[in-house]
Amino acid sequence: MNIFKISFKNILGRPLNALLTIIMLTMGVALTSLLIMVSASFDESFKKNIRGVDMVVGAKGSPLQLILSAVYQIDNPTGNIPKKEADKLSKNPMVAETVQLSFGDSYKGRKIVGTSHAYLELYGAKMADGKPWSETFEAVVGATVAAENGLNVGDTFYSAHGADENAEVHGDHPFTVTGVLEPNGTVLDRLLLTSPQSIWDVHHSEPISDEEKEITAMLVKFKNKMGMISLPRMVNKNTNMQAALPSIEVNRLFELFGIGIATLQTVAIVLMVLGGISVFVSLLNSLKDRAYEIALMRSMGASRGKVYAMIIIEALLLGLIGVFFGLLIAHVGAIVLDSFTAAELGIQFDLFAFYSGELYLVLATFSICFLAALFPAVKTVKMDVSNVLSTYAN
Amino acid sequence: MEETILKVSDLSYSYGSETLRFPDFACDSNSHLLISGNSGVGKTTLLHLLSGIRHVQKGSVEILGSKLEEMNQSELDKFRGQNLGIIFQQPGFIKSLTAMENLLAAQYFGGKGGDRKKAEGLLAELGIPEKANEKTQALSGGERQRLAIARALACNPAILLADEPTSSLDDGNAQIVYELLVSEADRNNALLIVVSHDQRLKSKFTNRVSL
Repeated sequence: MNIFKISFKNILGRPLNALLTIIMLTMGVALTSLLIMVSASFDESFKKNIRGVDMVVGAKGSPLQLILSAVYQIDNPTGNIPKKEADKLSKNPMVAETVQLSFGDSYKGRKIVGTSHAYLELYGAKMADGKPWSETFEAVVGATVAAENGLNVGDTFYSAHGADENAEVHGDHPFTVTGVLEPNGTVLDRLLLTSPQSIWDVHHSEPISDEEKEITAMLVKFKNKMGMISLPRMVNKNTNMQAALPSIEVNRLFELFGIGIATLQTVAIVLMVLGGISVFVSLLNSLKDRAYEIALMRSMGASRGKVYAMIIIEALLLGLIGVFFGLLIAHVGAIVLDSFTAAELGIQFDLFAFYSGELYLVLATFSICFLAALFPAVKTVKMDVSNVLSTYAN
Repeated sequence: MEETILKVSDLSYSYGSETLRFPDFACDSNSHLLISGNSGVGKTTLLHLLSGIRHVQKGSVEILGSKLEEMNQSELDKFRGQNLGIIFQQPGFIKSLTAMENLLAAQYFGGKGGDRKKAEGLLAELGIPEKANEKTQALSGGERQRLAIARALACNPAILLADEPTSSLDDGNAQIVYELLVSEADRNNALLIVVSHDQRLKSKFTNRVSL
C-alpha cells in the first residue's frame, strides 16, 4: 500500500466523476495536439515547397492561384505565357536560376509537368529507380503516383487533357516511364514529369516554331534580395505576365487558415480550462464527502504532507490518463487525416513523431491539474481533524 | 516490572471561555483503564488529547516517556501512527479500499507498511478472514466494528484507545465487544483505554477514572 495506490483507488472509487473529468481532459488534449500536428505539418509542408523559389511568373490572374497552381499543383493554372518572354526574363542579371513548367495534362487525376531537370534539383529529388527523362515521351513519376498506379520503369501510359480524371485521353502519344522518384515530402511526390517538348508534341500535330511555344509558369530564384523589390514590379508593369512572391502569398493563405485555426485553438483552450474546472469541482466534492476519511487517515498517523500529496497525485493521475488518451486519439486521428492530406496536399503526419509543442501541452495539462488541486488540497490539509472526527461520530 | 505507559498531570483544555479540567491519572502495562463520565464533560476532548489529535494547551500527557506537549504536528502524527490505535464510536473506513487494503493503509500511514501477515492474522483473530477483499460498505455493523479493532491494532500499538465502543449495543453485543477488546489488547500486548459513559462497563474495569 502506498500513496499512489490509494490515490488510484480513490479515482476508481468514483468512476463517473472520474470519467467526466477524464473525458474533458482527453478532448482538450486531443484537439490541442491535433492542432499542433496540423499546423506544424502545414507549415513544414508549405515551406518545403517554396524553398528556393523567390518568385513565380505566369499568366495574369490571381497571384494566390498562380502560386497554388505552379508551386503546389493544387489549383488550375491562370493560363499560358509565351516561352520567349520567359526566356527573356531568365536573362535578367538579377535572376540566378529559373525552372520553366508546362502543365495542364494529367494521368488518372495526377498532373503531368513538362520541365527541365532543374526542377528535380530544386527539390533535391533522388531516383528510387531508373533515370530522368532524356527523349520526348519519356517520363519520371513521383513516389505517390507510382504507388497509386503501380507504375514502374518501362511501363507506358497515356496522358489526358486537363486535370479531370475522366478527361479526354491523348491516345496517339504513349509515355514511357524511365524513372521513379523517392518520396521526399514535396510536390514532386504527386507529379509525373517529362520534357516540355513532350507537352508541345501532344498538343500540336505539326512541329511548332520557338515563337509559338508556350509554357504555363516559371519558377525564379534571384541572385540577391534586391530582385525581390524590383523584378516583380517590372514584370507586372512591363509585360503581359504576372509575377507573384510565394512567401507573401503563403502568408496570406496562412492568415486565411489562421482564422479557422484560431477558432479551434479557442475551443481547445476552453476544453482544457473546463477540464481543469472539472478536476477542481470533482476534487472539492469528493473531498467534502471524504473529510471524515481524511481525518481518519490523519488519526492513523498520516502526516499533512501525505494527505496533501495524495490529493495532488489524484489530480495528476487524472491528468495523466487524459494526456494518454488525448494523445492517442490525436495521433490515431492524424493517420485518418493523413490518408486524405498526403494524397491531396502532400502533407504527411507521422503517428509516432511527437512535436515539441506536445511536450508543452503535456506540461500545461499537468500544471492545470496541479493548480486545480491546490485549493482543495490546502483546504483539506487545514481541516481540524479533531472537530471532523467528533462531528461525524455523533 | 510494571512500566508506566501513560501519565496525565495537571491537564486542562479551553474552548474559548469554557475550560475543561481533567484529573491526574497514570496506568501501567497490566491495567486496562476506563475513563467514564457523562456527556459534555470532555471525554472526546480527552481522547483526542491523549492521541495527539488535539494539541495539549496546558498540563502534561506523557506516553512511553514522551511528552506530547513538547511535540510539533508532524512529530505527533508520527508518534500517533506508531504507538496508538484508535477505535472510533462509528467505525469509518476509506470507502474506495477493501477491508484488507484499509488495514494495509493503516500500516502505511502508521509508518509500518506492508505487514500483510499481521493484517491477515488480525482478520482471522477477529473472525472475519473471508471479508478481506470486500469493500467496507458491504460489511455488517458487527463486522465493521471488528474491522475497526483490527485496524487499530494493525501497527502493533502500545495503547489501544476506544471511544464509546459499546454504548449503542444491546447487553449481549456489548459483552462480546468488551471481551473482544480485552482479548485483542492482551494478545497484541497493548494497553486498553476505553472512554465511555456506558454504566455496564464500570464493573469490568478495576482501573477507572471519572471525569
